[in-house]
Amino acid sequence: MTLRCLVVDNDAFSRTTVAAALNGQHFDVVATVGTVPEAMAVDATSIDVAVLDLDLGGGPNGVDLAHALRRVSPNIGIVLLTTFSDPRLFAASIKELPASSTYVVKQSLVDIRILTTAIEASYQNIQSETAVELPRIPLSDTQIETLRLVAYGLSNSEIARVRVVSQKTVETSIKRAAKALNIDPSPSANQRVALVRAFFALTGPTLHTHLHR
Amino acid sequence: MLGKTLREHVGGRWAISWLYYLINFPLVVFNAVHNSTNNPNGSFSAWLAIGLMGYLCFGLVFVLANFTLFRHRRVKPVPITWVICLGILAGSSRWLVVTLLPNEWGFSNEGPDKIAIAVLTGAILGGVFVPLTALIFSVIATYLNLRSTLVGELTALHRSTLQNIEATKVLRMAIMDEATSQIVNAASARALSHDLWEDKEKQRRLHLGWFRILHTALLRNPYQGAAVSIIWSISVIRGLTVAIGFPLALTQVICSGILIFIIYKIASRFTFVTNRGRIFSFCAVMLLTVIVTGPLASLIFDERGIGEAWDLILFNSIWLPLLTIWVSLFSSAIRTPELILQDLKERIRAEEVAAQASSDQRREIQREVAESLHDMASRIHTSKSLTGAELNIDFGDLLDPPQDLDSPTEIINKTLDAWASIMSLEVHMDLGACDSQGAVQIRRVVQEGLANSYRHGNATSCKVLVNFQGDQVDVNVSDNGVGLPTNFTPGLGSVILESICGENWSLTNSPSGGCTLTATVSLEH
Repeated sequence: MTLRCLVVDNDAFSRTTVAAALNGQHFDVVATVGTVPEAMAVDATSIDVAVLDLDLGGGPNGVDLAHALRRVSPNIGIVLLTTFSDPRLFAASIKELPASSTYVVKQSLVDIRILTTAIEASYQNIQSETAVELPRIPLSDTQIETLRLVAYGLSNSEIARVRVVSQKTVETSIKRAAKALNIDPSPSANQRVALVRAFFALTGPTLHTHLHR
Repeated sequence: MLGKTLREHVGGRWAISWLYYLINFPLVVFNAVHNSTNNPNGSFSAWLAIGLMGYLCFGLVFVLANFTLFRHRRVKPVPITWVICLGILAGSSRWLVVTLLPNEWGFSNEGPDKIAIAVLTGAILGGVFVPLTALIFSVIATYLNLRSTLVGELTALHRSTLQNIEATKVLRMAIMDEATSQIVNAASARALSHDLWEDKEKQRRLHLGWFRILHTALLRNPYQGAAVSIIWSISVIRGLTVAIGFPLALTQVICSGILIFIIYKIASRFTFVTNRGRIFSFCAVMLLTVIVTGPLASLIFDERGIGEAWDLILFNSIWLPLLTIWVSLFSSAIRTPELILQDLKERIRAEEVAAQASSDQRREIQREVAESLHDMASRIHTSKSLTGAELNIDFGDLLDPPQDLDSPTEIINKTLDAWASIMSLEVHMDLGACDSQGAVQIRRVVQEGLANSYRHGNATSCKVLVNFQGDQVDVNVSDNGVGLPTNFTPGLGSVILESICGENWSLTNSPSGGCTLTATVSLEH
């Protein structure tokens, strides 16, 4: 059967490209929208699978939207298509992904079949209640959160204040994160900058618009 | 350098006396044995007593001299002539005692001429030995003073080098750590620099052992053949004169002296590569000398034969090696300190170069650190301005592009609409005279409140109140969710709220369930 898809991405180029690619792969893209209200305006019962970007500009994010869609139509397949190598990188604490959703990192899309397989899997497994398999980078929640704040531009003392921990803990967290990301201390390079670069490499290029949300 | 100090420092020292006692005691005993066996009059103990009296007489002269002539020896050097005179006095009085007393006691019957020869011999021996011993000790003392000064200097240099290296290491580490920002404010920067300047170097003393001078004295010493043979000749002539008569004794001494001189001259021409070779040659030369002056000389010159002359042979065999070592020490006391001091000076020069190099490196690192600290300070300043309300720099402006095109209401409604599509919202909004800039801030507060309610509170409906109060806007977001967890910890949202509202915000559980965000956005820019 031909699966009916909804593509939600706040980046116009991204959503039209994805929609065109899916139409060429025997999918029926019912709607291509850029915002949450537009997505909620689409009749959810007419959709089999929603392909959502995690980052949907201000307001609710992709995971919030996925939950809202599931509430309207419990059998809808959810595919999260995002630049974030690990959903924990997107926000400090996002809601858990709805059951059986699929998480696809944009950078890994070397072939459109990766996306089509993910869409099909998210629809076929809808009844199976399988746990969502999420990509995980080798960093703890604490380290990710600390790195986010480093990228945010905070000093260690500020991070310590925000996270209600000691400054020493922040230093340790940063050191461990650097070790996990193979950023060795070197007198010729600023480790903090290297860390932030690594962080943005993992989040994709769009994070700067999300830092303040 | 040593030549000058040598002239200045020659003087009476206690050491002269005790060295004399040390070297001469075996001879006193030997003489007692010799005299008691050769002479029917007088027992061994009587001869020993006579010997000891002479021995004490010699020593007494020096003890007295130490309290009188040499009283100021530590402050003012004693002239060498005094020392020579004292040596003559001590030597002659000693020999006078040991030759006159046996005559008085009837143990021997030596004529006045022999007593005069004995006193003369003693005077010569004393006049030669005492100043030489004084010289040795002066040289050694001077050397030790200089050495300790130089070693102190070297140690200081070495320490400063180590200190520099240590400091460089610390600085390097500081740079590493700086990357992970251990310095967060001026106070910690000061603390770090304080650590850097603190002297962390442990007290280290360079080791330069005694063995070195002894080693050099014994092994690197070019044998002083002439000195040994002359001194030996003087000391031995008296014994030989008694035994075989003066002309024969003089001939033997001269011939033996020449032979010893030749032996040492030949030995000193050898170039010995290894220490073992040096020791071997030293022992060989010593043995050869003993044979030449002892048994061989007796066979040739002493008419009495080896059986009768054994005591003289023994005397020569003991005395000569001792004398050789003594002369070796004397010459090396002058030569080796020069070598060692030279060596120390070279090491000091090397250390100076090392210290200079490491201090250059440290300066470079310090400049690096200074720059880093500067960057750090400005970054601390910036981040403080971004998150603290005190400097009133709007963090939002840096991240949010200005939204001039939208009206204040549109700006907020855009976010509200998005949330309204997934949860029910009840909105009461009075923006009054609020401008776009204020609206952006209000939008962000509302976004925080709604996101928190939806994501963490699982809320399905929210109430948003926005009230314009002239110079500020009160924002209130309450929901029907599960409320705050007991182990609630502030996250990034708190930072954002704080950057907008400063201290004027709170997140509490409502009495009716769910939670309420109350915040006040100031409109003063």
